[in-house]
Amino acid sequence: MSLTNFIIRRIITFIPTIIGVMFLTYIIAYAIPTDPVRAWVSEKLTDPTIIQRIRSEYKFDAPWYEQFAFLISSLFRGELNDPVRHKNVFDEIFSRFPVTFELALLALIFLIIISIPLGIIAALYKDSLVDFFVRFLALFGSSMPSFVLYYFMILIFFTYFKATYLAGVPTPSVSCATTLNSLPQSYPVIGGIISFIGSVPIFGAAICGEWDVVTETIKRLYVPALSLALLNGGFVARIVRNSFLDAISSESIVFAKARGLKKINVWRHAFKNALVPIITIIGLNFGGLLSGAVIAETVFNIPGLGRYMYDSISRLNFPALIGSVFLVAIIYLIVNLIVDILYAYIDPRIRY
Amino acid sequence: MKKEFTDKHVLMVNNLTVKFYTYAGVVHAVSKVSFEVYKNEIVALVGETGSGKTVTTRAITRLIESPGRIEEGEILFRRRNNKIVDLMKISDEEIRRIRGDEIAYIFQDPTSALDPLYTIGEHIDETIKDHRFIDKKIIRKISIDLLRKVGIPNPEIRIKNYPHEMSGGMRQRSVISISLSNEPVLLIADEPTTNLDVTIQAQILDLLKELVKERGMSMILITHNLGIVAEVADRVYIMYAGKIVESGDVYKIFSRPLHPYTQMLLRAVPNPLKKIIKLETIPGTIPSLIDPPSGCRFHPRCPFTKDICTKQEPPMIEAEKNHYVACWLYK
Amino acid sequence: MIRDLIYVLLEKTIDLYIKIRTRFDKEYMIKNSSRIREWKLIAYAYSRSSIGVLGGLIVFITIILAVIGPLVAPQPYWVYPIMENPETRYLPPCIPPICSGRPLLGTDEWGRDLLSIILYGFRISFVISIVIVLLGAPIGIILGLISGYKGGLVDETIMRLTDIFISFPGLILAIAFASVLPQRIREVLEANIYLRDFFSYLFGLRPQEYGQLAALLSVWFAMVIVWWPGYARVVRGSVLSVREQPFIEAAKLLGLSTWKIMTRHILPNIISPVLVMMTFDLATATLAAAALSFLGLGPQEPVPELGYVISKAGNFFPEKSLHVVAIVGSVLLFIALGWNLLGDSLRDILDPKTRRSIEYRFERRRR
Repeated sequence: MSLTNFIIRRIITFIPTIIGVMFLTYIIAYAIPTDPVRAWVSEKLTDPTIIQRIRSEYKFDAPWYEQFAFLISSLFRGELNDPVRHKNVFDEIFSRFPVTFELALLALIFLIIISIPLGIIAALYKDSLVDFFVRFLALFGSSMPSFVLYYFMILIFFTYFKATYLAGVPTPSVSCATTLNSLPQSYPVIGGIISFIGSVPIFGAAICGEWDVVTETIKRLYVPALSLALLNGGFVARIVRNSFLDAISSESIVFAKARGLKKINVWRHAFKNALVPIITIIGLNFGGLLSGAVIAETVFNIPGLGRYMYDSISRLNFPALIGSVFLVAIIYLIVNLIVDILYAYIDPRIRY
Repeated sequence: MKKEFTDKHVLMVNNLTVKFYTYAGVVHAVSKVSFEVYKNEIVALVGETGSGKTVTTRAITRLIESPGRIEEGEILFRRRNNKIVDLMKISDEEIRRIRGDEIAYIFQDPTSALDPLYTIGEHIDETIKDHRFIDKKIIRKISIDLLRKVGIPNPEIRIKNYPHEMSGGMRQRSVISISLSNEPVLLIADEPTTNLDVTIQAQILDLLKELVKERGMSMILITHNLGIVAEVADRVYIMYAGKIVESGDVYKIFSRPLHPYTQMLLRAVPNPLKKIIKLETIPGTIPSLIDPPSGCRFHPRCPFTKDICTKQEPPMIEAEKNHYVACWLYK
Repeated sequence: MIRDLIYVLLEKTIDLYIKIRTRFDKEYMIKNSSRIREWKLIAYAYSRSSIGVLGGLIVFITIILAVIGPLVAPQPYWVYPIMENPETRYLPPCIPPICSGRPLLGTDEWGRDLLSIILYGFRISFVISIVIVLLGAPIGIILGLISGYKGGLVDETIMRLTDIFISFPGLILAIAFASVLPQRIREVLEANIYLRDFFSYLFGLRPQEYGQLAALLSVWFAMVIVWWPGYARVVRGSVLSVREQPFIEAAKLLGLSTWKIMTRHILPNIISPVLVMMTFDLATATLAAAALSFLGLGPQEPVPELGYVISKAGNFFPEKSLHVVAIVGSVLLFIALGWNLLGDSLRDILDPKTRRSIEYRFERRRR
């Protein structure tokens, strides 16, 4: 059973899950008894004909299966319309997702920097001070309420040291943005890829060479990213430690030594074996981060996807909700898919 | 009684002692064990689980890890270039070179010995690569030939297999091919057939016998199965509770076992050389090695215990030519 | 010395339990001797685990405070002192002998004594976390058992369902329920006085606040829905590995019903990691409930949910409300820490690898 076979099979199981997620979202939206249309237009007019028009436009007067079909088809056409702001929901989502992505990526980098070396050292020097520290960090990370940590990080980094700020997110200049957006026309494939990568503000700025934007972004986001990494880091470090310990003491490593393999090759074997649980846990963490850390975005005032989702449902903005939930679910499933594929790439036994 | 390392010797172990420092206390796994292996012979190391057989053989190439420690011992080995070295004294890098090249191991459970994330080919290739400077393509050829030699059909295809894609017998054959890859001088096989079906057992044993004789290797075969010993071995060492209690030519031991433990072992299984009426068990269990019995370690279970057995350890004496025993019954 | 005390205490409890069971079934002790020995072994291992004892102490304090909190709180939570005296808002802590005349730990947004708020808060946080885990876990366990044991289509369906719930952002579900349910629950509570009173007293609140109670219950409901998939997955995995073992085949051959096999044979063998997971989950649930309240989804004033109190304080952070965030935050940290320490220690105790050394020491002690 080869790797490609495995990938295809996994993608196939993907589809019913996505449909299930959409259906669940729909049920939730449908189950809310309050009349959303009134909520949308309440500030403006109460002209019943306009309300009726909106209702039929969004098919609220049609039976539920028609509504569901309408939503799904709008979704795939990418034409979900935000009733409050009269824009395509996806424009809004795609402007906010990159910010969440930046934050998640930075948090992931911090997480890896903290947890992997700590975990390895804790494994090599079992029961040492480092090992004890890893246990302590894991305990601390899972007992501390996240919002309390965020407030304290703000206290330290913003109030006392003034080493960060709490408004907006830096973006590359307009000229840079227009250049990137026009690339796909001149160079179809490569241009498309670069443009896509460049849609994430920090990457876009890096491509254009606007390094001040890059540093500003880091300055803006490093405190929440560090907080997120601290909350999860201890736990991941423990997994790294245990995974390494298991790998090093396994019989196949003794056999590797008995075969007289060079030290670096013995390590290669141990490391690869230890990798699987580590990849899983880091992948899961990244998926969670991408799904939008709503609390972090709230406390640090970051205009990301998590906050957008929260706002959309409090305002009963269904198209926005459906659009964001769809994106989040897809992301989560993609990340899981990638983790599974990596897993299968490393461990051939999984391919069955 | 220090023997001389002659031309015929490949390995000589003198007074090997290995202790394990555990939460429960110090485990005297191997206590002053001495044995030797000559050129082109198969030596069997026999004993129950916990007698110290595996620890002894792993100690030969310093494969003992914390909490175990090799406390004392001299391990003289004749290298391929005929130089004689004490494996306890050479550097870490030198012993790494010897492992897998001049002294090779076959582990008991091929499934746990092989790394599930690498193909058989990769296992063999890297074992060769870390010891010799040969071109990659030639290494591949050698690996395929090795698989063929150990009786794996379609080796060109099998070489790309992962361990989980093979049956138990094939895995063990693969492990054997890994061990033989650098044409070792000494092969240490730790219960190579215990985890296999009986029919496969016979095939593997025949294979090992043939390879050893063909390549002029020596082999230490660890087993608790006396049938295998009778099949394959030239000489036998019987271990009990971390000590060697009897040793010698296989025929002599089977036809005239001297040590009470050996006698009881032979009475517990059908003996190909002698007719016995009834199979018996040995009463009691092996002693705790944290607090071994005083004097002769077998005395609590021995039907012939004398007073001196509880006080002093019996020395190893030559009872007849090529037949040694450590027991107060003999002088 | 404390260790011995704890062990003796636990041993006495076990002996007491045996005595009671023996009264109903004379053979109880003989039939369950190995299980009893197992319990005593665990009790011994626990007494020797410093983090376990510490965690146990914290949990003990948490439970005590949760039970008696609302009863001993010096000031009621439904009175807003700032209505009468605006000066009482966000007063900092006042610890004698340096100062006196003001509430010990300071006041919150509405001038309420922070100590009282915390005492009420213990009850709310504790009850909500217990109920979430004690409801979510069994649902997940049962589904996992069925899924793992039956296999085939049942397995696939349940696993798909689990996947859907896991990939669904839990927050959205919580928000959705928090929007929909309070209305409906309100109606139910209005109609059914017993229910209303029961839940109010359970959480240490007055029946008058049943509107906020409805919000609390809807948050709780949302969390239970989100909680079970984790257990289903873990249990299913364990069942898959236990299912192939010979003793299960033997049970089947003996003609035991599926239910009996699952509960009597499979379940006890997979229960250890599940118990550890549940203990850790109590910490997670406490923090998650607080987080949802922080976002404004749970009960609002006057109900003193700890997360909500912090969110209100966040607006004046750090100039005025640092003490609120710090103190209430520490309370949440305290509660979660207790469960995490306990879970950590339980995981070490139940780990088969460390078993032998524990057994060895236990036997030695008995001599």
